[in-house]
Amino acid sequence: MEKNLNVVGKRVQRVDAIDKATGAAKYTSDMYLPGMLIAKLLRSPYAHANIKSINTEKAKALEGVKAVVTWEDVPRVRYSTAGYPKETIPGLVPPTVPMTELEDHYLLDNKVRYYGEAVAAVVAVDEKTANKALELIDVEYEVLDAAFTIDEALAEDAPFIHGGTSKNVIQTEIIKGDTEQGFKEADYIFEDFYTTQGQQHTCMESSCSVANYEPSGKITLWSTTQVPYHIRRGISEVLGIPMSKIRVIKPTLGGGFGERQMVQNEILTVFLAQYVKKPVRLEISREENIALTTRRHPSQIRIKSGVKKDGTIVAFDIETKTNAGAYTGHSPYVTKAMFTKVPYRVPNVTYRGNIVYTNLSDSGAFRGYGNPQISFARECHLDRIAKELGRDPIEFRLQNFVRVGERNPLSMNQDWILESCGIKECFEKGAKAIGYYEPRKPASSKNKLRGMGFAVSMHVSGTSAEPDFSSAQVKINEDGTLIVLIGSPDLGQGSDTSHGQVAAEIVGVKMENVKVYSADTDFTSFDMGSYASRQSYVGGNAVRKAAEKAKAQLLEFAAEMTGQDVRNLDTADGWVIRRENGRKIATIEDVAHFSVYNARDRKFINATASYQALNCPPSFAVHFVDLEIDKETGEIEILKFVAAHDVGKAVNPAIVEAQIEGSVAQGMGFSLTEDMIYDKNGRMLNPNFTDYKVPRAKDMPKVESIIVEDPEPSGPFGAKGVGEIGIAPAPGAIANAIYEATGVWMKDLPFTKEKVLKAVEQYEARGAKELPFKEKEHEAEKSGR
Amino acid sequence: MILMSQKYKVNFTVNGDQYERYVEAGETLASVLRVELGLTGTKVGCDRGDCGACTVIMNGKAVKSCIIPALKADGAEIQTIEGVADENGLHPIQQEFVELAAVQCGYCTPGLIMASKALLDENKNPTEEEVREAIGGNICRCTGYEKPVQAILKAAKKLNGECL
Repeated sequence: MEKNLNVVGKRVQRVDAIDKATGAAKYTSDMYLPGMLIAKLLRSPYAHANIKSINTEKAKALEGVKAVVTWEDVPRVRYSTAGYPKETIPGLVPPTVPMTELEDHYLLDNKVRYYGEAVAAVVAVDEKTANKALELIDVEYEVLDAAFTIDEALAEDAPFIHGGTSKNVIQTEIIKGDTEQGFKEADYIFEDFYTTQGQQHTCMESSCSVANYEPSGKITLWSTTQVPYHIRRGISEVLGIPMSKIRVIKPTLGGGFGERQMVQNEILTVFLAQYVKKPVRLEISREENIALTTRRHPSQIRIKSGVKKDGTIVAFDIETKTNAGAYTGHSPYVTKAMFTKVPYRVPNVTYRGNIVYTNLSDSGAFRGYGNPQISFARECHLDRIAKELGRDPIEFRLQNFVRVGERNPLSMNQDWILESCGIKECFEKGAKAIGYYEPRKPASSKNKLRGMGFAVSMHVSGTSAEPDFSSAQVKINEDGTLIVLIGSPDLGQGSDTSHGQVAAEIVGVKMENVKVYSADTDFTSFDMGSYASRQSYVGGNAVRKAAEKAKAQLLEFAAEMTGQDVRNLDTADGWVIRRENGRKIATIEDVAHFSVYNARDRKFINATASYQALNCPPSFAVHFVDLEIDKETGEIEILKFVAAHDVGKAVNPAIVEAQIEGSVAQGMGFSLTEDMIYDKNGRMLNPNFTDYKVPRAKDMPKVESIIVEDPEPSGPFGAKGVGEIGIAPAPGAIANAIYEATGVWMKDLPFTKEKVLKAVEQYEARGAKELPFKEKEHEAEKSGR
Repeated sequence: MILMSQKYKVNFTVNGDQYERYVEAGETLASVLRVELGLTGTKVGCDRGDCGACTVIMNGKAVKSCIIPALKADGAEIQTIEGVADENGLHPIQQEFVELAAVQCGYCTPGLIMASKALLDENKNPTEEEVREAIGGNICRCTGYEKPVQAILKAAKKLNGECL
């Protein structure tokens, strides 16, 4: 492996960059097929209601309307909005919860469970006609009581929204060790309560599906999806169309972040295209996108720790309540994720997850998948413990951090061992870059308070509930160029480029001679999709294996062509070379040409490989923040943001940096400005970019990304995941910096100016910011044993 | 009932080509560019002027084409992302976006490039603050703006170098 790398580890140009920078890249929303019809959804003006009747006659009579469909027209088949196959849908949900509560969604139903839920679909010749037709549909509703927050839905008199282990809730419990015993061994006990808000992905390309029906019965679907194969299966299961007649294509995709890991409107669009036997396009507006597509789970997190005098954490008791919205979707897995993404070697942990159903659209997958919430709570809580015990917060973290050779904390049913961990180097480099151990600089004016803080996170490289799986194909054309086919889509993060680099490096060709395609269910090989930060590690390993097989075939032909022993041959940079001295003996182009034209037994070099993950190596990150608070306005200005990430190996450092910078921006939005606000009827009040405030160029500070490479033995060239982790430490780092500035622990996201001003008021009232450690308050109840 | 609206004749130049089209009163420039002319490089991210994905240059100024009525473009000279590269290849802003991996999903990229091109057409030597101001109306959800800002600043230097 210690061969010089020519492509991997280099800032090679992204394979899609020129098309995107010139406007040539074609997205799903750029598809305008000849004769294409436009579909629009009628949405419920009530958050919880039975549909007593729907009259579509007037709408159907409108010139240009081709179809109006309601729940009476669509197949009465339940499916899960998570998109997972049946056997994986339950996640960690107790077996007492019936499958019907998990496969809980119909294409259209006779009941609505959130404001804006689709009630009917219209297909018309153009958008204007479709919109007019929506107005002509008469729906009679029987309005029911609704509940929108966790507390409302758990109240005794709450309306019944969804079944679970009991009304409106699925309770799960994960236990490690003996927490009761752990707390007995502890000298101190600390307990805190945190809340987090909903966050919307706001992919810049809104959700769009275009389906084409062919007279043979074949359906082609173009969609803004992260999971083409799950969508193909879902179409087949719900509509009863054989998979052989369904082709799902993911064109260039305008962002994903988990939103498109869900089933969007793909199945309904295919149904409509089949219904009218014409191409149909269903694109949702920005308002629908922000208000109604899946969001990050709002949560309540109670965390209790038992700590020994020497700083060893001996027990965690964590309880989460997450607002799942009206449908189960990804909630079982997001709940589990909150339990596993803890990088500390705490022997006794009790985790209680409460998935709470409300009359909001469903919460689901969003970059970090539960990690931003749990990291925020845990890292603020641990910072508080360190400070109250008079410990250096970094040393306190490292003292309790999981070590290489120990059980991988992400393991649940597997015996995975942690084989790499660059956290120490992340701390060292991050602390140095921000000046953590230097005397603090004063605030820039008397009107400002200044503080520094950090937080740690750990995230997956692929799914961790079960071994992950991917497959890929590498072909060598007769001119020696490569085609890489992979079923997990590039959403914009750059996985096509990284996969191309892995293949180019292994086969030994130049990057400009590699083409990568993802994803088309008729041409790429089966894959779970693009999520769980799985591309670099799981997908990368599948590409690595396919490329190794292709290279082996290439070398056989090279041996035949040159008369040399195959064991003495290798490749590099477009050449077949002698293994012992690197001497060039033939170009790969000539060998590839030979393979199809002149070889004894001619063959097209083409290899497919599958990879079942042997581990789920965690990636690690520490974010440091230096910030100032304006005492008059409560405004937070981030002076410097340092993000140190252990990625194993940066296959493309520019792409890795870009992932870090982008997730820091989303983490800052989550921390400071992004919030989903609802009125008393469950209608979102801020479903547009004026009022739902994602960071803009002027809001973003300089982000210094530090890439740490502690090679992962099982990763392709040592690589681990990086896509999601960067969003998780940001809120905790900012909260801990606010504490240093004000002496107030911020426990409720987001840190709006109003909340920060309250902290400033407390600071002013108190005069001194450091609070003395009240040892008595934390002493473990010795008598209670 | 048939939904018919009156159409009005407009003439405009897009990327150097003359067009004559009949449009309805409420039709936006973005829609005409994308659907009528097939210039789908101009993206629509919000359809209300919030996100800047639809930014084009009209008579020398960056405008959000999703809130410009097509009728207002009568007689205008319009440049879209498709008209930025020329026979010599990519524009320096495009080159730097490609070079620095300032492109991720790419949906906001045309808008960012048009907004920054309008800036550099007027101000050859902007500060970082001026660059961030110029793209302040453009939302990018992928990059955190770091690489796009660096790309625009580097392109400005390159453009200055060529002028010298």
